[in-house]
Amino acid sequence: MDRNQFVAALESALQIDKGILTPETVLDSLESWDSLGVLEFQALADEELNVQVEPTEIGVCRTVEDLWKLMQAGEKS
Amino acid sequence: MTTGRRAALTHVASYLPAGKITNDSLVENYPGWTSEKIEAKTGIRVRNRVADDEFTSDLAIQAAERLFEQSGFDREQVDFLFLVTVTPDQILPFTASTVQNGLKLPTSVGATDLSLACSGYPYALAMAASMIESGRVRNVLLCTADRFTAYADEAEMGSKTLFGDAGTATLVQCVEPGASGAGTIGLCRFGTDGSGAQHLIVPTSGIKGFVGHTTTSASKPTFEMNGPEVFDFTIRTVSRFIADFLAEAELEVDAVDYFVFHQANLFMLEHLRRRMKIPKERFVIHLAEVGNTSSSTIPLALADLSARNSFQPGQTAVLVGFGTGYSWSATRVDFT
Repeated sequence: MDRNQFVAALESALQIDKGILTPETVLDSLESWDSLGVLEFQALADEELNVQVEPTEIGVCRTVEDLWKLMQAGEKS
Repeated sequence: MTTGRRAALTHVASYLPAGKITNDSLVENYPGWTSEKIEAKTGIRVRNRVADDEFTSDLAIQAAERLFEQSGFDREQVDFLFLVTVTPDQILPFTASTVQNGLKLPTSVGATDLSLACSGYPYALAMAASMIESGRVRNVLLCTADRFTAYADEAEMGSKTLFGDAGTATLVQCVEPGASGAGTIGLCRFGTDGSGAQHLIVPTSGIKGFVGHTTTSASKPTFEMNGPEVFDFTIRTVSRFIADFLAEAELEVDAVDYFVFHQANLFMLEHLRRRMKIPKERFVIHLAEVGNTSSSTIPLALADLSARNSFQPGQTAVLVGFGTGYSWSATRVDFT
């Protein structure tokens, strides 16, 4: 999965129209970035890359790019 | 001490209180939510709710009365009573004593509460089986009951959508090898990690709720859940535990007819199912009309399957509980 594919997958997971998200999008500006949205991201990371991301580290992510970097650095099971 | 005796669950009955919490009623005060969104994420349409004067002991008693009626089992023959609950009527005395009295079980019965929630049923099956196999008792009445809405009513919306009230009763008996209509209890395994305690907690539900408070200032016990942490626990710990359990039991996924996991919510269950590569037809989902009923989810699903005559001789079920503590457990059941 490359970065563009991740952005598209995150759009789908958060039920956002295609083409809306960019790496620079601020997460707090998204209505669907709530507690369920965080779970969707965790599930995406686990399913697509077999990566488990620390919930506390998700909490400090500001942008979509931050989520992508976190996934890249995550621990594979 | 082993005696060659085998323990099996022979009957399961359930009780759902009459009150209903629909998705429509939940979203009335939360404009950001819709009934459809709740059902899509949780898999739940309706939860049951107790009447104001109905408590955990009542849920257990009603379920056990149904069990005696449906099975014809003589209550005088009960040797031991377990009540799995995290919503006791009061802390002191333990609620199992209220259940013993309400059911008019003989006073020679041993009775105790097990303070476990979502992991409690496999735990209690293992304890009942151990007591039977050691020769100390023959018949164990295993009740689960939680009036969880008492904690969830004041919780944030995400938690409110999940929980309902219910009680169940299971008869665990000493059986002859190969006895028909029984589910022999096999491998049981457990786990505990108290470092996750704060992520599924009712902080003021015990002594901490009133020491240092006046009665009037004590806050109402409210359930707190850190969803991402609990999901992380499920991915990392529970899925590995299940894989290890199946390996130890020498069971391939295709050799298990029913995977009956704690019915937390559809999102989590489906993720676990896909992660474990379990086919849908072998994976039990019993959420839509009852919700997450804490200690009762697994036996409620078993009671539903049993009522539809689903269990056939030679079939195998794997029961997996996981939740507050953190705590987790699994039990193998083979039907004869």
